[in-house]
Amino acid sequence: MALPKYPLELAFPPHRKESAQGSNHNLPLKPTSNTHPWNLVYNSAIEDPQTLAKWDELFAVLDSCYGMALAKKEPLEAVKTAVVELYSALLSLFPLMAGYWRLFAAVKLKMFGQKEFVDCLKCAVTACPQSVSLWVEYLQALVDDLDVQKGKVEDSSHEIEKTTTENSSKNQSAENGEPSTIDSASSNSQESVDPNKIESIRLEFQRGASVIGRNFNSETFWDSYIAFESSISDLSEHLIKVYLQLVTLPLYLYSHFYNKFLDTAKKYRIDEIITDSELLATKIAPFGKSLADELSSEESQQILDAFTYDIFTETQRKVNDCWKFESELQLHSFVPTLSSAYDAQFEVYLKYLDHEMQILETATPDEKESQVAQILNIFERALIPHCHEPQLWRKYIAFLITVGSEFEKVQSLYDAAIFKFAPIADYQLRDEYAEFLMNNAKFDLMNIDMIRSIKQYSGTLDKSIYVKSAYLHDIKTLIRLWVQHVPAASSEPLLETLINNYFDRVDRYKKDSLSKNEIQNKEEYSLKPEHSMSLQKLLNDDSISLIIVSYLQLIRVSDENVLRIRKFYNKYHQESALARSVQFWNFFVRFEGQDMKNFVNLGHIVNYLKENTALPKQSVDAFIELQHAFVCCNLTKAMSSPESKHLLSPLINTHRDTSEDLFVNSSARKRLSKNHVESRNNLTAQKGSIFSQTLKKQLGHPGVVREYSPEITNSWIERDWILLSDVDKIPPLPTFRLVDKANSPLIYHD
Amino acid sequence: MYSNNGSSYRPGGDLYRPGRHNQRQGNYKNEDYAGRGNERAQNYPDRSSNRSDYRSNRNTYKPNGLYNGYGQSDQRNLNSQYGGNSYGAGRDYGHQNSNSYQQPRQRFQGQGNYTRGQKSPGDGYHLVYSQIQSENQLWMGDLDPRWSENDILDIWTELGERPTNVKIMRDKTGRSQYCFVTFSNPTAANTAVQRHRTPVPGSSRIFKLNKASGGGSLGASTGMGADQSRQNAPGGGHSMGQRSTVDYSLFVGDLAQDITEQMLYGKFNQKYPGVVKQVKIMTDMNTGMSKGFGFVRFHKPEAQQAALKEMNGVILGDRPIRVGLANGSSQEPAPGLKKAASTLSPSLKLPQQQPSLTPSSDPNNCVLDILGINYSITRDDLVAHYGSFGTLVYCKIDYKAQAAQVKYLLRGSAEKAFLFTDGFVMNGCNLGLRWGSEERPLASAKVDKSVKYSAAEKPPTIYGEVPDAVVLEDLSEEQLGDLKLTEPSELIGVSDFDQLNEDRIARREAYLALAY
Repeated sequence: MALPKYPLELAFPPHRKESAQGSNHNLPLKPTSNTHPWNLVYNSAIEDPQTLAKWDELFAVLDSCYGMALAKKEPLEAVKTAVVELYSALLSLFPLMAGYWRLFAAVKLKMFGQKEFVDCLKCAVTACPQSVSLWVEYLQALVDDLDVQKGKVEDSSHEIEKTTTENSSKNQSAENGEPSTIDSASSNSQESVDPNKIESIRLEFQRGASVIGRNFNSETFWDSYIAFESSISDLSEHLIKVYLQLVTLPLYLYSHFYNKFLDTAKKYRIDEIITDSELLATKIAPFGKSLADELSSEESQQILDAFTYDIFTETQRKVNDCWKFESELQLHSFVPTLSSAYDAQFEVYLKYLDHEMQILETATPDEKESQVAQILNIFERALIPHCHEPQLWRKYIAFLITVGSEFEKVQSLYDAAIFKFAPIADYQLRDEYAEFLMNNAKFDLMNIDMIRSIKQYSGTLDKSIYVKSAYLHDIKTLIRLWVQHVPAASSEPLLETLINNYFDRVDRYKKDSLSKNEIQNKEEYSLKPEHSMSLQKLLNDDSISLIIVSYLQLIRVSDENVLRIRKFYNKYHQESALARSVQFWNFFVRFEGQDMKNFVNLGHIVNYLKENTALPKQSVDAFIELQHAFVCCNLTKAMSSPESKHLLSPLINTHRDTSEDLFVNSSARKRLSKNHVESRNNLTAQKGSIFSQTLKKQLGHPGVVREYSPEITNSWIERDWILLSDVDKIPPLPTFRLVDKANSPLIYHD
Repeated sequence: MYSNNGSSYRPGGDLYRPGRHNQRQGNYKNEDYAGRGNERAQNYPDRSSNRSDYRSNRNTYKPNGLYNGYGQSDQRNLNSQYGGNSYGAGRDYGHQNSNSYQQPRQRFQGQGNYTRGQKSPGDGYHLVYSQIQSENQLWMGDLDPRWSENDILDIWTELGERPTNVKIMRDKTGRSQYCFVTFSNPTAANTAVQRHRTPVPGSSRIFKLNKASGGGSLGASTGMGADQSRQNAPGGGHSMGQRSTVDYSLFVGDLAQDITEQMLYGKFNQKYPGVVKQVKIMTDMNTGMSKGFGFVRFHKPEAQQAALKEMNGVILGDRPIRVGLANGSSQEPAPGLKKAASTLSPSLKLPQQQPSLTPSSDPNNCVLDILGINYSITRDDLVAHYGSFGTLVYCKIDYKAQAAQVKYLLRGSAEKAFLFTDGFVMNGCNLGLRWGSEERPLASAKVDKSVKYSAAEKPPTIYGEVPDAVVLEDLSEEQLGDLKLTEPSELIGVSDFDQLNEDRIARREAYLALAY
């Protein structure tokens, strides 16, 4: 398993205690308890959440369990809880999978009844607002609900259940905008309708129209909208409004709606259709009349025809214009594993958007609004199958900013991208967000969101997935912004406190010094203590070095602080957290070598780091080379120093200390033995000996350990010399030990 | 002419080495012999002193009487050949152990070859030509170094068997090894040999006696040896010589103490009548006790092979015997049996055992598994740590399995990395290393033995330096093309060199700027 790619995966599987939306049961049984047949499938699905077939299998098992329990009249609570949890888990990971939302809703209807069903669909359209079929189902459910409550249709709930399950099973995997069977059977309920209810449903329809009305394939939605309005009244102003809005939209079935509109429009008066009185006046004027009422039916028909024809040709032009793109857009639903077809389609979307934006540039002010809405709609649609494309998010956000969209809108978009869909590795988006917030003077909000993001990656949440690179990057950005926007007088003690608190663990959380340091400064921004406190809690060994380096760079600006910096080194350089920090050592090597040109100090630093730290060889080599370069470049100064004889060694030993041969490279030997597992575990052993023993055991063939080698027990090699003529002192023949063990076959660790 | 195929047994050892011998056909001619033997045969007593100068010491006579025992029964009919081997230049003496006695001419050639297991390599060689009848002659070993010929003569005289001649054989340093005692008639010799293992009067020593005719075998092979030799005798040396050019003998082990050569012969002769040539049970030379093993010699390779298959585990006495090919027995049994012999005697040709091919033993393997990874180690960290030893082909991390895998371009880089980073504590993680395999998933720290390892491809041959901290899988096609993996054949100019150095420094600075 590689690192999670997208932010939503960080929190997967969701924590058990968080149950699904709308179901706040006390969970009597958890799906993991081993008594249930779905556990095995559950585990395999959780292991590999990308494979939808496993989820399907899991839900099938749950469904059959439910059926069994129902038949045996056993308690259903466990199954119900499991179903809710599992669907919630899946949909929290992939909120854009409309097919599973519909399945979830169907299951809710089956197990919990109508109210839960509607609630679930409501959640679905919030989580996945660009799905036409979800909207259709949701609104249909509302309409049916109305009927049921009225008690007009006794058996409707039964029928609905049937149709819903049919629908959902049909549209399981993909939502492709196929027309679902919207029956206008409930049109007989217009008498004694509760006006408040109707009004609320109408509001939902309007909301839906604003969200998905411009979707090129939204005909099912419009059908049901029209059906709803006409069920209430055949001749209401709402209905004609819907039509008037509808016919201007470039939709796939635009001519179908146009024809319906023509049929309907005949029933209305001309001034009900052309509501713009000025426009109406200009239309009527050629007939020599001033009021619509004065027109004859032929005349008004003529005006209507001309008016609608204009609309029609305009819509037709738009549809033809976008058809070359729309015809290539075949994949509308989200799938976890993308294929190359998706990549191709993504290119089409980009071209499509560019094309529409060009139109916007040349558009008249009247058209602009609708064109913007059109572009936004295309963005929203594209973000379903291509929600993991950071390029698309960035383009969308840039577009919103250029059209002067309000701050909240852009921010929510950033939010969705950063915390849900855009790849974690896309740091640029987060940096842009931080910049965006700072440009809008939202320093506190920036702090909150950056810390939230840091927390998400820090591995301190339940799931404890630590995304180190993202975490470090965010901390770096945050500190940079602090240093940039908070006056040095307050940021310096702030960082110092962070560092002191981190290393003095005893009173790490108790120190109140942060608030003391709070300076009520009028310039720029001041950092709220709670933000630095929450950052304090999120620091770890990897990130503390970033704070330290920022702090050092901050105080290095002033020459008076040289002593402070050196004291700081003396105080902290042996911390294990810094032994692995390239940045920390990079700072000091350059500080002493480049800025101070104090080669004695530089020598101490490099000697320490090459023998004691746990840095990668690459960076140790780099520092040794740097030292060599610094000394060479300032040879006169170096040689004039009273301790110049110490300075020669780096000039001579550079190649030795960067050698890849452990026999030659004694500093590396020391460094490695200090960081060797065994010498760390075994404190009593002489450091270094274990490492060299391990090395010796695998000489000749690294990785194949030869545990024993034969030894001469009475070796006289190390003894004094003897005269061979001295017969009495002829040494005995050598005796051996470990010969058998050394001859035994090698053990391979593979 | 009959050529005896001399053989020697290593005392106390299990080596049975029937010599390949050089048969000569045709009658022995004195001139011939003289030409080869430099007439020393006639004058041997005089030459004993300067023996050291004329013969290599390969031909050493082992003074235990065993060396020549094995051909004893045949030699009575020996016609001529004493085994020119010992004089032939450039021969492989190590395999030529011949004891030949030329009875008709009443010559004795006590020529043994014993080079193995010798305790003091310099101590001896020996050549003797005897003109006396070997039947009258005894070999006598374990001599007191102080004894002279006369002393020995006195000893025997004291015992009532006055020998006609005593000849002490000495080694280079003049130390006496053994002697030949000649009696006037065979009866006297037979009587004298009975004193074997009896104390020597006036000395702490014990008689070690044997028929000088090689009749040693401590009177053992008598039963059949004598019979056979007699049977064979009239046949003339010629055919016999031909036949015995090859030896078909078997080692027989796990013999009980009370098994005699007769019993052993009986058992084999019962099973393979008429083809058992000779049997021999090895005995301790001091105690005369059986050493628990012996040899059976066949006339025909078929019988040898059959016995090898069939006699193993046959009960003899009260325990099953063990049968194996005798060391040094014929390597060319018969054309048809060649294959069978080689399959049947795996113990003889023990190939050196090679370890099976595993990631560790594959010398071309450049893949390292790194175990003990956790989230605090990123891929960049790994590349920084592992990339400085050479170009990486890929670097994969699996956090769930807590493992990573890197592949180097060159084996040398991988070995260096192994020595440097095995057991290294990186970012607080104790890392373990082992040789990996590309096919083996990083599923877990445990090794799945069921996955068969197939040999890694041979790494490219690159003698120059490969760029450090480069992971090939991260590079685009274009960058891969730009990589200069082969050393330029021409010398590069100063400006190019500077450019390369600057590039390197730029890479270093970029790394230092980005690393955490």
